Amino acid sequence: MSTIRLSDTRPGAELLLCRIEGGMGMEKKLTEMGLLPGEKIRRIDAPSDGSIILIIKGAKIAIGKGMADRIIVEECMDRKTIKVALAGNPNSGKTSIFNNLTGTRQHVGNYPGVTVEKKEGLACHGNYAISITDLPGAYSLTAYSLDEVVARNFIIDEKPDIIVNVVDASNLERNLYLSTQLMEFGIPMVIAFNMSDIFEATGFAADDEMLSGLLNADIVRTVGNKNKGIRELLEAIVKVYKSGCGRKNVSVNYGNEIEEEASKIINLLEALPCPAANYPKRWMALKLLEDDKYIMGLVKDRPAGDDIIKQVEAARSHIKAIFADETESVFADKRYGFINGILRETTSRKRASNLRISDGIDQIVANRVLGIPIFLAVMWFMFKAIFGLSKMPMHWIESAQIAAGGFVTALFPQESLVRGFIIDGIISGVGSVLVFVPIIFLLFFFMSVLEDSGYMARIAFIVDKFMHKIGLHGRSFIPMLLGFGCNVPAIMATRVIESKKDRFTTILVNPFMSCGARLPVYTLLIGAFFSNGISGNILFSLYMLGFLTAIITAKIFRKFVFAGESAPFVMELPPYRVPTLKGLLIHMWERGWLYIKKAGTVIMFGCLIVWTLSVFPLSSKSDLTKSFIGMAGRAIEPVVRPLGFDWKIGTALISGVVAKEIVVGTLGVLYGAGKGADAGGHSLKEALRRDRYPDGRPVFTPLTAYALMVFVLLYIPCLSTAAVIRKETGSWGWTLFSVSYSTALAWSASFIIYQGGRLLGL
Amino acid sequence: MDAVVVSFILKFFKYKILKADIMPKEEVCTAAHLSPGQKASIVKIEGRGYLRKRLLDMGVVAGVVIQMVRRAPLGDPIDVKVKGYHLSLRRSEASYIIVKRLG
Repeated sequence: MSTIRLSDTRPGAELLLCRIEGGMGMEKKLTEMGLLPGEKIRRIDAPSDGSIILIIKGAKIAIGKGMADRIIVEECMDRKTIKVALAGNPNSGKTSIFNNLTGTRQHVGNYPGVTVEKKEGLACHGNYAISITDLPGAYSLTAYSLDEVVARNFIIDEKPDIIVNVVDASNLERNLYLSTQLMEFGIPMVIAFNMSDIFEATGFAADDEMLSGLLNADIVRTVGNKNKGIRELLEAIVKVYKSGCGRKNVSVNYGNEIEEEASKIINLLEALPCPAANYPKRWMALKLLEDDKYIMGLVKDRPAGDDIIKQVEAARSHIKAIFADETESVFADKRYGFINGILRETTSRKRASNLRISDGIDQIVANRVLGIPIFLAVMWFMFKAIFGLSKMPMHWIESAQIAAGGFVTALFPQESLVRGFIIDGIISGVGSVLVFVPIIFLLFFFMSVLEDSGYMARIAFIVDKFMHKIGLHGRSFIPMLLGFGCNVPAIMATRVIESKKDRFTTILVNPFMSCGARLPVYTLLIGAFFSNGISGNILFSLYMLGFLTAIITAKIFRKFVFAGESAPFVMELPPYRVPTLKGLLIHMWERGWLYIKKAGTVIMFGCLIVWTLSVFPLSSKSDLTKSFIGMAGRAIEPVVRPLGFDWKIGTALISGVVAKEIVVGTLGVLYGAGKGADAGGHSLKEALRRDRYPDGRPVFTPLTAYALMVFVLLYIPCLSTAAVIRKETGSWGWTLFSVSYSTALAWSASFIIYQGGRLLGL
Repeated sequence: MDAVVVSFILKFFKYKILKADIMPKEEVCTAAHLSPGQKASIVKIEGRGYLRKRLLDMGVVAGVVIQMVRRAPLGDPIDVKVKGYHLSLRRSEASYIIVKRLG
């Protein structure tokens, strides 16, 4: 089925919206009008002037010709939409199946109310539009993990027509564990028997038909990373959909004792006056027996819920007595028993060829002696590559920014508010967003390489002991390391951390890792006030101070703010795989794009505010000292005086909120060294050294300079970082907390250093 | 009084010796005590809450063979093989897995 532009269709056509071209502005605008990929629309044109009118969900929308060019649709006469939920274990190759099914017709968002990513996409097959939701990867459907709660609630609330369960055939037993739980929802299921090539290569054979019968699901063999079996998968989805839900409901038989207890609870649940309507009763009963806190809470709130809880408690102790084990163990045993039974009947091993390249790699890579050196080499290479490769494009962006500024200057030769607004407000605002783009795209590219190849899990394995000691998780390592480059991508990289406590702690301490933007400030001040002999040590001490602050605050947070046991480290070490370029690029693109969309707007806005403050009131006549920001600098002088800072430093610190390197630029302006004064600006160093208070004391001593560097190191994560913290924590509260405690910490640290130093006579 | 203590100590050592003599190969211990390469059969999962559930969900259930593969370079966590795949867990977590050494 081929796609065409909306503008090329005839009036009266029934259309299916596939995607919107023309950038995020256009997409956002149309999405807000209800034009979402996967929606059915009808084109009816206005008879009077021939303008394009669409009917979508009964509402009429008029659309310009320009817009119609950007909307890509498919013509369909009578198309039905099949709702599919894609479920599977992490590392089962679910994402590559999703990418192959939907191509570029994807939409990334969040599940309502939580920060779990929701990916949706659209596939077309025959007369059917198949809208696919990629559920978070899960090993089970417990109430313990947010991902798992999200996955199961989606299935219950959205009632997909079909569940496609992606199963890693080379790790069948554990992957089918999730399938046994998915079966309990009573929704028709198609199993994608993924990585079937590895399954066959390791000498296994399976009787698909028999397996399909026993699991009560259609089975399609796929090789996700080679795009095999995708067509067949679509066919199976349509076939199962057409055949309707006329299948018998197969489920694990938990044995007489449990089934009996379950049916008692089911009876009670059915008698509830206003039951939790959506949930299948048997599923609820089983979850109650498994001591599922979420369902327990749900039942407890109902009238007569207490009776059910009592019954559940009785049943649980009964089961415990019979099996001499906790009910959770009994359930897991029964499920694995069921799987074992099925596999014994349907699979066989023809030859025992051990295709265990992966184990061989681990012999070297996770080796007790070689493990750490290899890991350090990989980190060093990645760090180098990300910050090395991004230098060029960043330079281009900066040049483009300057060129754009030059162009505007040529347009408006006179110094004016409009020119200032365009150059210093808009262009520099856009520039400060764009300048991060190369670094972020590269970062996500390398992160995807680590993730998709399986090495990420090994990194966590190797460094966990150290990270655990400082109250973090093995997976916190990469974000912390990246923080030395830039905190923005570093905080985005915390997504690999599963537990919220570990993740938030990592996010909140990350800004203390001294990023590249702080370096110009150090270079300027160290160059001006410290001799060459000790400059290296001073610089190192700052990096160490940041690192130690991060460790100590992490410990404190874990103890007081995110108290409680740390999340279990129980984690799969997936076999090594060669990542596919397509997968890497899609991953890189969608994450990078999200950054531009979400953080970009906040950064833009912040830049405009700072610009406004530095220009107004108009009477200041572009004299920074008389502008609002200069006034603010004077206003906060009493606050920063105990740190040995004067109002000029205060002003620089305020503008440095946008990005820390701006501190240098602002000092340059204030000291009249010209706006372009860079870190190496000789004149600025001289000016700083010569600056005196009215009483003749120098403004800057080495002690003040050091206190200032410590302040710059620790205070407010820059605006971009704050924007990303807001985005990743999903909370203004945490963002404010991060901003305020780091500033308080910066003030205290500088105070101790400055006043302590003075007492020591420095 | 002394006699009681002495007999207790003797009993204790006897028990130790017996344990070492009679069940050297079928010793019950936790998965954290296995040495690299050693296999064991899982007897029971102790503990509560998420950790226990997670272990069970990952296929660490009674009767399954668990093989200690290696320790991480810093000594913790460990890499074990269950049901044909590799699982990493901290030693403190492995101590909830009660196993019987094989072979």
